[in-house]
Amino acid sequence: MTSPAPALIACRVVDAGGKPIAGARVYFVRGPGSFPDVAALTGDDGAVLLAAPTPGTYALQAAADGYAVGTVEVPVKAGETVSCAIVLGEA
Amino acid sequence: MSDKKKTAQGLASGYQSVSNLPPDATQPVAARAVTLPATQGSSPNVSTPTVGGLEAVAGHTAAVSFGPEAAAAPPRVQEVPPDFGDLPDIGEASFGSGGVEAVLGVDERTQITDTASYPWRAIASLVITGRDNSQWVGTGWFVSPRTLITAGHCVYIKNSGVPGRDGWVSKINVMCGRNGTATPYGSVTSTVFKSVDGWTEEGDENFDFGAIVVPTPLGEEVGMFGVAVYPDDELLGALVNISGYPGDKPAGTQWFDSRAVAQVNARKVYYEADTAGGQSGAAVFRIVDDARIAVAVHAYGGATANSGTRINDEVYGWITSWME
Repeated sequence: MTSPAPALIACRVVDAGGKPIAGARVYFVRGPGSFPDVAALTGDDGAVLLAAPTPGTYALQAAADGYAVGTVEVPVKAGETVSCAIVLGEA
Repeated sequence: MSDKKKTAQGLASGYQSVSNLPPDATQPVAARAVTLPATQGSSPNVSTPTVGGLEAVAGHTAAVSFGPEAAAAPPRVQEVPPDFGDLPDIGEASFGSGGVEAVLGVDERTQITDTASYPWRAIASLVITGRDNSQWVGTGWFVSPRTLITAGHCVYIKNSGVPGRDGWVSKINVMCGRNGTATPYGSVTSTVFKSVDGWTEEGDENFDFGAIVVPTPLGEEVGMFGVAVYPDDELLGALVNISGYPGDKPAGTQWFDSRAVAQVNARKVYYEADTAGGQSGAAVFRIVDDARIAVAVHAYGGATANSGTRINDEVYGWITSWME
């Protein structure tokens, strides 16, 4: 059985000055279907690449110590890659 | 649906245990209809649960009340129920009503601060490194001296859509009883993982569970969860506890919630206990005669309930075959 190509969400986590935040946790909080309850860790560039299991609108959240939690909503279609940014203000 | 599932009878899915080790390094064991006991480990400090199956966590109360029978019922082997594997996820039934979320309504989670006590120290923060060097946060729990149980997607990434990512992860750093920057039992690195081909080949959520084997018998020190198979009527409505390492809280802190089992089918358990990304792999456990007994492996969020892979006869057999 061949699974349909998932949508990808390229998310970048930055501070209020636009500087990448490494080691931030990024995870789904809402979506059109069930999603694995893991969190991705951002690299030095503040980026993660997540697969959205089904098309629809997802809410992603990012958390990093010393910052307030940030949320972004991202609509995705099957097989496409969508970019987004989450800006974290100071806690 | 695969041919394997089409030919399956009852809970006999036809799937096989798989590992990132060469085939001759695995020792499959046939499913046995027995209960694995819990042990508290050799370290001092053991948390005593309250009556009724709720962990005694300061500041936490169950959001619903239960009759004492919900916690006191002894485990007995699940009779083979009809296979509901082809039915849609119960969470999917609610997608049209506003989407799903892992924290359901008000966040009821309570932080565990005495993580060096049993059972909290038998729960591990996982930092997972994928084949493509992507990093992830998950949760695992000891079931034997060297084996932790977790979600399948914590040990084998499936259908990521990212070149070079799918497959067995490269390594997992296991930190038992982690509390922020404190790691009372250190950090051990595992490169030995197990799952079943229902997950690794088919990507079937109903088979999303796996195991991590660590090089030292750390479970003897921190303790282990028991595992049991319960029939539907004893599991439905029973109080279950979940504790793990969610990403929305301060890094590496352990958080707990408890709630009733809302629904079950042959391969999944649904509950309203709050979770967040990073708690995949956590034990969904009951307390029976003061013993912590896992009944499911947490893996997914849902609209009205979160869900985990049910420990049925078949899953029980795979877990026992992975114990080292």
